[in-house]
Amino acid sequence: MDAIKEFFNFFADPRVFFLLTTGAFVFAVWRRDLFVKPSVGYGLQIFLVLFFGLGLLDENFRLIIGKPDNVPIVGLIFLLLFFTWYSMRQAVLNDQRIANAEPVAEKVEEDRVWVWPDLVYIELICLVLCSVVLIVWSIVLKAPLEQPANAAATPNPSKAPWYFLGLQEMLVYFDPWLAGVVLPSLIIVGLMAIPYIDTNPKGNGYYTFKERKAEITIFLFGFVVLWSSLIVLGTFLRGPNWNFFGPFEYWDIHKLEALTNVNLSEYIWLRGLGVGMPSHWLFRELPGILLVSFYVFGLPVVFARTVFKRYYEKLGPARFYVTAFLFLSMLSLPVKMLARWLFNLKYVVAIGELFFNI
Amino acid sequence: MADEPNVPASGTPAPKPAAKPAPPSVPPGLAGKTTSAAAAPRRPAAKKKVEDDTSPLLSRRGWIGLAWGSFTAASAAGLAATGRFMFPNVLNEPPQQFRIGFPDEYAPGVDERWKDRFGVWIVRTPSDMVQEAAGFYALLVTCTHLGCTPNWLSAEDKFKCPCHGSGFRPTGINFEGPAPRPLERARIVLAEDGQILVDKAQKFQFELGQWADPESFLRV
Amino acid sequence: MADKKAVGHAYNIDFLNVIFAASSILLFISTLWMVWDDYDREWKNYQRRFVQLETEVTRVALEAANAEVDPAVLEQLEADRATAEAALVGQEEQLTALEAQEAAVAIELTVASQIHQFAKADYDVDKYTLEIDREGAEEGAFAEREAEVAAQYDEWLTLGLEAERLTAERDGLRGQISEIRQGVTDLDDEIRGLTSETTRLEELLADLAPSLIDDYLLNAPLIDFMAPSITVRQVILPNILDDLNFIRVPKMDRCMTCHLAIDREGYEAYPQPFATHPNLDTYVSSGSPHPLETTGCTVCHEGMPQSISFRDAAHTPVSLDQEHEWVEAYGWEEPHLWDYPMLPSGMAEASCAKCHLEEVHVPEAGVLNLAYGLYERAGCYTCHKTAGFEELREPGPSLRRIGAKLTPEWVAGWIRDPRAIKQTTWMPRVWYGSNTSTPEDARRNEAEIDAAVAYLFAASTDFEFAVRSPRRGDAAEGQRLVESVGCLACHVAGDEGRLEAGPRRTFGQALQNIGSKTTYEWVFDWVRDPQHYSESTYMPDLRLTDDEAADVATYLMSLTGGTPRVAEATYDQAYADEVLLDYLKAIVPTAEAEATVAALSAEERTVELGERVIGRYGCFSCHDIPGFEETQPIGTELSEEGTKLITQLDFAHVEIPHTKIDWFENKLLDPGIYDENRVLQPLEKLRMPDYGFSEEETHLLVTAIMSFQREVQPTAALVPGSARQDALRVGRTLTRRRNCVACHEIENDGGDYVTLVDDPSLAPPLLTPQGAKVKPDWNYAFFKDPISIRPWLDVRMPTFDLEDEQWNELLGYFAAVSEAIGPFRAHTVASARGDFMATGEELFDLLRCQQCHVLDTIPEDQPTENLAPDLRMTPERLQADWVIDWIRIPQTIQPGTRMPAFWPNYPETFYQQFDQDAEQQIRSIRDHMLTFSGGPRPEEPVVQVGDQP
Repeated sequence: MDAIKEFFNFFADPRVFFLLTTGAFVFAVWRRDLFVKPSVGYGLQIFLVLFFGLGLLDENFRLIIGKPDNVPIVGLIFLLLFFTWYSMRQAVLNDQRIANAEPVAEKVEEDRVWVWPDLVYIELICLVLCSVVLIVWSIVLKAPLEQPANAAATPNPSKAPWYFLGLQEMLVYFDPWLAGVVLPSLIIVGLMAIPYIDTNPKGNGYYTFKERKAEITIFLFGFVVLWSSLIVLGTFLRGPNWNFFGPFEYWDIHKLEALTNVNLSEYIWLRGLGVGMPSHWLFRELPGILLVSFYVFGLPVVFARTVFKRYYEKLGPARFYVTAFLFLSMLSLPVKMLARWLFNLKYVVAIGELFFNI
Repeated sequence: MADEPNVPASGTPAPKPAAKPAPPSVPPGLAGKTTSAAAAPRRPAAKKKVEDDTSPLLSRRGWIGLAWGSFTAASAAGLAATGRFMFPNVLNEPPQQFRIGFPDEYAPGVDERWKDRFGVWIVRTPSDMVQEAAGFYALLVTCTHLGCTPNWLSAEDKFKCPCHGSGFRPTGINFEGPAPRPLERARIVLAEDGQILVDKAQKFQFELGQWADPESFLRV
Repeated sequence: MADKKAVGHAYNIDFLNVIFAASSILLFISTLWMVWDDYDREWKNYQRRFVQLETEVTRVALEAANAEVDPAVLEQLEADRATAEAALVGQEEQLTALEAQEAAVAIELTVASQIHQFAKADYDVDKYTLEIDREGAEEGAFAEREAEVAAQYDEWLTLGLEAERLTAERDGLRGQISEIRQGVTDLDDEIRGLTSETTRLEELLADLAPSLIDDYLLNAPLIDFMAPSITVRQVILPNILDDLNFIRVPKMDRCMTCHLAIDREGYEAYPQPFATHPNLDTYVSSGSPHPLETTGCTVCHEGMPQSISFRDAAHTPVSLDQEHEWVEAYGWEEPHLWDYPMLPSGMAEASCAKCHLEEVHVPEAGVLNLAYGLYERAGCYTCHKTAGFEELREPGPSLRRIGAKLTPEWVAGWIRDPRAIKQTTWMPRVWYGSNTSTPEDARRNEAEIDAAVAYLFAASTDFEFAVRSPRRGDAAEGQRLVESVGCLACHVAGDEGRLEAGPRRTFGQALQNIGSKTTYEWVFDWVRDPQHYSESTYMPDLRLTDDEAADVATYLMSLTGGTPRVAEATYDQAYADEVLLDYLKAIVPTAEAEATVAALSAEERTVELGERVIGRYGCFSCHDIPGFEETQPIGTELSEEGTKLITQLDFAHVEIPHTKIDWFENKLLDPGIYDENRVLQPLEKLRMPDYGFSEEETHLLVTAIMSFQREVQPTAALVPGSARQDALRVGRTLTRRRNCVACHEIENDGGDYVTLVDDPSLAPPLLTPQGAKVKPDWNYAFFKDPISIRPWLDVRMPTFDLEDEQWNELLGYFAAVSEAIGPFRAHTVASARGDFMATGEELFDLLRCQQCHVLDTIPEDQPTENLAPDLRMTPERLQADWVIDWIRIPQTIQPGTRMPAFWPNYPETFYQQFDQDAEQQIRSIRDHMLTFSGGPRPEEPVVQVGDQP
């Protein structure tokens, strides 16, 4: 029993967890034909049910999962898995039909139902069932009334609401300006920009994967891996002092972890070249600035000329560069995370004098 | 189902008008039932099971009746609970019942010491106009005209309301101004420990003959 | 359901009907469940049970009341009443006529009164108008109107007369009516008087009886908004505030929702939550100083005031057993969500300090007073700065002249484990605690002990005894002296436990095994004059002669014994140097430290290490040690420890319940406990020494700690200030901190000495009446030069060396206790009438005062317990008015006194003088006594207070 718990605790390590989710994502997309099998779908859900059900036997797990704030996130996991699976399945089936020169399912099925009584009745039943769920939930899980807030005593852990846990996680790796302002704004701007940069006419009104590979992959990566799984991470696997704790681990507030991080400039000047740090920030952070400039300005051009030439031609320079910029911004998070885990890298560019760090 | 000619498919133009003049929104499958309801009640009513009713246990009507019945009952209960919610279980108001000390601590006449805190005048009289005995009564400080708080003018031996000039005798009887009825008395009794207990939750009005009630006057 | 979808439909409607029905039924059930969950609360069940309990109690009371009513008497009265009623029948006509007349007159009277009152109203108006109109006008300009107004006044008077006449008439008629009915009315009153209690209880019982409407309908779910009998009860306290961190709000206590009988007598024997509050006269009842309506509950007991659930109110169990009980019965959990859980029962007095600020002695708070006594005696405040305990002495003896008193070997053994030598000592054990007991630790301990001793002796200054080579005395006589003169009031010489003896009788150092500790010369020098060795000592001068001192010293030197703990390791100089290096490396770089060490000789190194050791362990806080006069104490400040959040206490690896009280208790029981299982360098270890506290002592000290709180309550909540309160507070502090109360009882506290004598009259006198009794300037002279007022007593008042300011505080205290006007003397006049004095002398002889009271000679045939002070001191010493009170009612002033009550039924008297006027009799005796003179008197002090005696 303990061995199994240790196994899961190991998998909850963020490096393992994040790589696992990325790997699962890659699998779900690349071998989607396997992923969308009903057996796999049911199997995954059953696995989750067993995991949570049996996990509840452990006291630490119960304490973490049973916290009234955390209960909905359990539901989120189930729902997320289901909807990703279901939509991918519809897409794969449609792709098969397209490959066989059949019309897609949406065209074949009735695409209209009666508002009355079908839609309205269903809505009414959903209303009633949702009310029942909410009423029962509110009776069974009571929100605790805590003591009056004390400025001298900060709760430990201090977590953002669940929808911001992804951002709180980002704060570990990025400077607050970036993690809290720039990147969230880019998320919103990016979402708003989608209609303008997405010129792919296919996939309108019907599920498909093959006809919108890049778009769906990018979105799923951003939403499921970067946004949702980080929420799950932040809810269940981050504990006191924002340390990592496995799902069966006791939340010890005294647990210590050595967070020894080094800036890129320190790596290069002090440890690499063995010389002192230059006094002026421009000179000091030059390597980092160059690297970031290349990442932001150079890489898109490289992409346009090589790997993504096709896209460049399809979208045209304006759209392509905008897309590339947004895409690279999104990728900067996993890149930074990897850099932190592998090299203990703190900041690529660290200009404390201007309160500007990347 | 999907091949019915008069069901429009997506993207295709509107169908030719159907031959049957029935309302176009009614699909043929249910045409029989609706027209039966719309047409004259020639059909035998109150038939337990209609032909296309396939539900076991209860009829369609039974199920729907049960469903709407319990839905209504649930909504009524919910509404009642919401209504009950409007009446708080606890009010953070000054207490209606309070002790005001021992009878010996009061001289004859009107005592204003509890006017601000509890909103009563304590009057000690050698002979009450209704009960004709010596003792105490408690007058509520609310003018019976429009609810202002009168002032006690000891020089003129009356309560005078500053809002519209209503005047009341020390007994509480209104005698001048627009007040329609006398001041109200509060329940006043002796508590277990011998102190006087005033209870504003119970009021006594002269015009209803309630000043004869033993709890409206404390005999000492 | 058959999967039948009609054309165009997405679903089978029949199936959906069933789903809808099922979910609607679920909705209904869950709504009902929600209403029920909201309605069904545990406190309601308590209230229902209480109604039953109250019914039972009332029924029992009713039975008792019924038993008191003699049924025969009641029957007789009722029979008489029936007869009287029957007798009235004959006079019915008369009655009816009279009543009719009365009614008519009443009508006339009402009308006349109304006219009278209306006339007054009109008069008032006209009068006021006149006053306004004639403002500033000439004299006489309004003469006519003035006349009118005057006439109106006269008319009003006349109308008044008419009203009075009618009132008289009506009253006359009423009188006649009531005369006729006299018999019946009287009997009615008698019956009512007999049955008043039973009637009241019967009504109460009827009220409590379950009624369909009142108890069931009005309390039903959803309908209970109108007038439920089961309600939340609360009291809102505008003057007592809850500190919610960002705001302070009036407290809102709802405890009485379940604790329904808390302020009612008669429920003492019932289980919680229905028990009456203990000590109703002091707490909770409306006549007490802490009435429920203005004090509430949680200001004393803590906990969450607004909660009405057992668990959320943060009740704290008092023991593990009770905790298990509560977990089973109530689902109790450790309160996580309220920062100040309830104090366990018995610790509530910790809250007294919230309003009784800066009071070292709070009347009636026995637990707290003892706790503060322990806190002061143990000297906690010396290392742990605590507000309110700043101006206190150092509890340990001065070590400046230690060379003259002790030997290094003895000191090392003492420091190693004090309680092995003197079991009652308050000195704690610094080394060999639970975190410093390994063999490696022992080596270090020994090095440190040795160094500390070396420092003390190196820093010790020279001291010459007052008498070199004093002669020895008689040990038996010495023992007699020690046991009678009063030493045992402050010192323990036997084997009593520390808590058993209490902080008062261990006020002075324990005398156990003193013979093995020091030399005869030193003990003699000390007993003869303590201030010679230590100027700041609190030990007073017992005025012993040199011979007596020799006897005492010889006896004390015979108290030998005590086995010092042996050193558990040896060490060498190299090791000691390592330790010194360790200390120095903590403050300077290693190279510098090594250089410093190398530059010192071996002896210097030891002394240097000793200085570091003393600095580290804080010895200088309790003892006056040369070189450490300005050093800051080493402990955490405890001034607000009671309000400290639990997140600031480090539980480390120790598995104890996660509460503040448990943390403190475990810390006191074993100060090193939180080092358990930790990897620590020697200088990182906890250093609080081990006092060997018992569980009881710990509990009391935790009560004291919990009483140190942040000030939150507004002035309106505090004890009202006055000059008298200040005098009381200052006096109480002084008498506790100089240990007067070890010998003397005052204000129902103290007088522990009485346990050491056979009879209370052999103990030091009661001081409660002192302010009214003794003249302040005589008292002051007495303080400066104590004389023997009761020469048959062995115990004597020592000479204390207090400042004049302190003596005045004491006199002010006595006056405040007696509610006298401070040190101002009353002006009394003794009557100079010859016969008055003569009769006084007559009574004096008649009552045989001299049988017990000394008058130059001590009465021979009286047992010692009956002897009384010399009456010749009366005019100089006693306040004349007090003497009268004393003679009249001695037992009220001094309960248990052997002074007889010659006027037990005052003002009745057995004696014939002054026509049996007791007051005169007493006065005359007093006046006679005021003629006495020549009694013992203290020496005139150089500085005087008030007038000449």
